[in-house]
Amino acid sequence: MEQPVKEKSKAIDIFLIVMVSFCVLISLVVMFVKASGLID
Amino acid sequence: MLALLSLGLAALYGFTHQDLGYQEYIPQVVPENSEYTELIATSQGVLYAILDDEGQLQSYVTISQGQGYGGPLLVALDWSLDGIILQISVPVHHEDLPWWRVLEARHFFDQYIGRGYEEPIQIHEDIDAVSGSTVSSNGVAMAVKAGRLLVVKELGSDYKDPLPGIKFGLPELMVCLGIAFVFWVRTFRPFKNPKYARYLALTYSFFIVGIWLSVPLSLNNISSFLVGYAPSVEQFIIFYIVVWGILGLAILFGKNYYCYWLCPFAAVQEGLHFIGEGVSPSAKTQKRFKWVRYALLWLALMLVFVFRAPNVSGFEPWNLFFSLKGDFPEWILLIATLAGALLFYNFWCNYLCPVGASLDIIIKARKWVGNKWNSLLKKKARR
Repeated sequence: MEQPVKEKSKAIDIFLIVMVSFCVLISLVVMFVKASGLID
Repeated sequence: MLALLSLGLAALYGFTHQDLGYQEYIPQVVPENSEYTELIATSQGVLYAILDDEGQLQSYVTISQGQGYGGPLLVALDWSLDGIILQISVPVHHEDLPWWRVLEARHFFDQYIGRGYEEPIQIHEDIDAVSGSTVSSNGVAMAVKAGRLLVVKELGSDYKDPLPGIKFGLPELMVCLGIAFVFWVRTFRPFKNPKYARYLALTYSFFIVGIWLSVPLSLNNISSFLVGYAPSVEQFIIFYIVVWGILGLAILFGKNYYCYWLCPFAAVQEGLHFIGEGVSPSAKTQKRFKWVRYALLWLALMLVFVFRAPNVSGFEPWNLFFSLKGDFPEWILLIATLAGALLFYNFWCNYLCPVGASLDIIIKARKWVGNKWNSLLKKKARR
């Protein structure tokens, strides 16, 4: 019974890591897109 | 320490690399290769005389500065010899393009053509602002007025620009009420369980600060003060209330009155989390991501200081959520954030928000200064 719970919590952690990493990446893209409009 | 040092260096770099050459923008409003000579130069702009082939005065060109949402913008105007605007162009601005395109699409700039220097040229009077892009509209209007002052001076006219009064109306009052309510609940603790007061504050903020006024506290607002590009206090006192109300209370009382209470995007996320099947990641993983918000804050501020453009730091998804104006990557970020919020409690706030990180830094710095001060007083008392 304990094993599936552990696996589920591991999956949640991995999903959070993926979500945060993806959002950080897109945030960087947004920032650099805005900044690139400022370079002549 | 290293982060602070790098931010200081970035600010110094941005300050010393400002582009102050105005004459390159003259061809934006008069034919290229026009002869010109500089007549007046002030901190707000420059007036040039445009000469024809025989060296006769043909028109005046002013290049002047205003404050937009994303920082300073330059407006080039071609004026007839009797002070009528013949042509307008905005060669430099830092506004977000989706908002800027609205100004162009609604022919905002065309309103200035044919106006004489003695006309009000005033937003909400003879010039219509574009709703949703009011700060940008006002920035252009401010630059046009700065150009007008140069023309007035050159023509030797006794025209006086009417001083704008501070605009404090219902929107400003509603924001003040929201801040005052949260301040009262969190400082004086009138309720044993403030859960419902918090829900009330979040709902109020969602409708008033978010949907109606679209003025959530953004890093863009904070950084515009850091680089000295805040919008005019007369026209946009609401930004001063939001920024200095919230930061000021954090500095004075050492409490975060905004996050989880007055942030309209927190209301959106909590609503989604309530609908969705929330899951909790392990404490270890949550702790692992604590630094991400600070890293994003540092990077955004670095870019703001280097480019001297606060709009670079306005990457938060609520800008798009409450305005529905944004580029493709901003839509992706908004969708990803909302999807994250369905599963993880206050996903953006806990893992990515640079505004929350700023407030945390202020509170930690205040605590540190307070502790140092107290230990200094204790040492003195012992002597």
